[in-house]
Amino acid sequence: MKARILLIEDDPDALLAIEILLSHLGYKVETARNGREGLKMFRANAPDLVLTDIIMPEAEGIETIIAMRRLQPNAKIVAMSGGGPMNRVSLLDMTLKLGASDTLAKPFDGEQLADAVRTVLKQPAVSPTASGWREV
Amino acid sequence: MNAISKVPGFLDPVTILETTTDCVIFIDRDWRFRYLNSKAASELSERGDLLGANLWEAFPELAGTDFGTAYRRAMADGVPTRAEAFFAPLNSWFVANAYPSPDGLTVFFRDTTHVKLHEAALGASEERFRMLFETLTQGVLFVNRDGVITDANPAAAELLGVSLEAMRGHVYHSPSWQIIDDAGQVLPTAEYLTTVALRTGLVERGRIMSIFNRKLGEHRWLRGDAIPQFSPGDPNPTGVCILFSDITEHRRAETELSASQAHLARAQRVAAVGSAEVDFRTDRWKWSDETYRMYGLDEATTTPSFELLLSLVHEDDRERIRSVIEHTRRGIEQKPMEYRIVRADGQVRVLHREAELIRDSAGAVTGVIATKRDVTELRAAEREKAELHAQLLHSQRLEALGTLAGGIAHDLNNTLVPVTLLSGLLLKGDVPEGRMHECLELIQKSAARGRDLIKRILTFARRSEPEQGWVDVTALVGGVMPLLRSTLPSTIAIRERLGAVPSIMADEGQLNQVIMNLVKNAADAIGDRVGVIVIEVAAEGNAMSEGAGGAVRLSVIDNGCGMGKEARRRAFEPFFTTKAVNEGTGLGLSVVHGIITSHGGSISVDSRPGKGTRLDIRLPVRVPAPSLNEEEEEIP
Repeated sequence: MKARILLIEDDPDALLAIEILLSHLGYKVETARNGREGLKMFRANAPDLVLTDIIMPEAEGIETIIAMRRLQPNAKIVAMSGGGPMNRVSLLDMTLKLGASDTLAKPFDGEQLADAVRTVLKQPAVSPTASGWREV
Repeated sequence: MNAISKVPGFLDPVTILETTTDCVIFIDRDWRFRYLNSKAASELSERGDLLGANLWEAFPELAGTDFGTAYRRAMADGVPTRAEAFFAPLNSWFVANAYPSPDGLTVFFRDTTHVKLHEAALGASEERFRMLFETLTQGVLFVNRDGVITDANPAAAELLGVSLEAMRGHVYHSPSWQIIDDAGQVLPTAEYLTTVALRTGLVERGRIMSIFNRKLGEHRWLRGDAIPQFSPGDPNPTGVCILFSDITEHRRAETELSASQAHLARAQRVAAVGSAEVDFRTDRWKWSDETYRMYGLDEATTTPSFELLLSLVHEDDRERIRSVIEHTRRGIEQKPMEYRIVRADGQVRVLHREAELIRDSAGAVTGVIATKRDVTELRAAEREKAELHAQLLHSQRLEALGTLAGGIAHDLNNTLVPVTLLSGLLLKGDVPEGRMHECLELIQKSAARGRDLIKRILTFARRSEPEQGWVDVTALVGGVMPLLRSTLPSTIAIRERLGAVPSIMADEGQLNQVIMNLVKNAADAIGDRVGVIVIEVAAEGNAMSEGAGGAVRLSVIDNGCGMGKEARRRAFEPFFTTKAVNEGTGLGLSVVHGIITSHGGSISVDSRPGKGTRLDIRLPVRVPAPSLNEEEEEIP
């Protein structure tokens, strides 16, 4: 059975590209344009994995992760960010501590995305520990 | 007579009669001329030979005159008579003495016309002198050697504040005058003008003194001359004539003038403003104390002139000054200017000059008055400030670029996601079914976004000169509308209200960016809500007639969240943003502002929280200047 992935991304182009790739890898992808929408879908559909951008309008990505983790302590969440005024590395690091299962620094290539998704999906459904992040 | 004729040496009486200056005639008792001396003969020669002629026949006009009466009375009464009268037939005055004798009448007469004229002239002169004396505004006193005032005119009485009666016949040296000298000291009577003139016998002129005027109850300043008077043969003055006038008002004006000159000099010194005045008619130059100080010259040893000024002016500014002065001479008003002078010690000073023409009542230019202000320190401070400002701007830009790099990185990284993901797929030939075209499009679009981002950074970082060309803003907006629609979420409608406008000189690429930025801002302000953005283009002022002052207005209006006072105030500040971290760089409106200002345009914002935002951009319409080529083409 295909794993179901909830993709939350405010950048429409990035969203479309990631969706194309994940679909091509055989996952069933649902998309949301912001954290609030994403959280609603998470509550309704309980996806196998959440791939979310951290910095988005409305609800911030980090808040979304915290809320999901509270709703579903075993949720598998991969956080992505292109960074900003704050160092991209430390931002993702912080996200890990707050409950992301893994992180992806933008821009990533197909292999990196596939690896991250596959690895996290394989993890046992327990509360995550800081499993490190990937730096490109 | 007989007795005298016998005195030895005594002249023969006839000789005397012949040599006397009087006319002498002898008339017998029948009134016939029996003798005329030669003087009488010549005086009466008009009437022919009178010897033997009857007086009354020869001179019928005599009857009834004083002379005729006197002669008849003398003859009848035997007493000498005298007559003096104007005798019209001879048009002269005569005096006649008639001496009767038993044989007739001896008459001595002479022409006194010249004496009469002299007397009349003397009388007239005396009268003229009196009139002058009485009406003169100068006071006149005559004082005799005993110090008694023998005469005084009404002006003297008025100037001294006493009556004529109080002066005439009284001594002049009364302490009640309270005379004070020019230095403000009470003058002892020994030093009085009259006393000194009487003592020395010398003319004394221009003595300044103050005398207490009892009528006015105040001291008045007088200037007086003393002219001693002499009698022939007497070495000592017989008296003195004192002439004086009131100079109180003159002195007050003089004091005020010198005070106001001192005040002006002080004010010029304090304000470091000098002045110069040139009279073109005489080519006379006048510099104020402060001007001398600015030029580093000594007033006592300097004669200001055009040549001197030119020699002081820095050689690079000399021609400019020369031209300014030449134009001013021709009556052409000159704008304020600055020039440098080089002082004798080599110090260079920057002077700011402003001038005003002086005209006579007919409006002809007769001179110029100029002020000069030493702005050396001011200009130096301004230059330093400008340098500091430039440095600050530079460092701010560097800092901004650092921040910008962080902000842009987020967008750029997002933009690169489709490129890295999809190009990998395409390279492997591992293309999702039916999505090849979509993938390529997405890669291309992302590449374009990346290019746009870089452009945006460069616009800010380089502030490069815009590439100007004629742009029709309405056409520009029309062309960009489809792109705008595609980038906006379906919840946001975009409408256009485009009027006809004249083309303006502008950088099309930059204007595109302005529109994109404004629309993006408007969309962000609407957010996830349902909203509308209106783009308006309209001609303003007399833009359509291509006259000066016209403008093309570009407005972007949204019904989004609006801005508060603080946000409105800081809207165009670089990096000011109300958006979430990484939502925007805070550069959008700042870049817009930069572009519009570089086009000579203006931008204004009208917004209130919850009421949406309206941004108005106005770009000036300039009449295209004919290019050199076009002009050349017109020459056959």
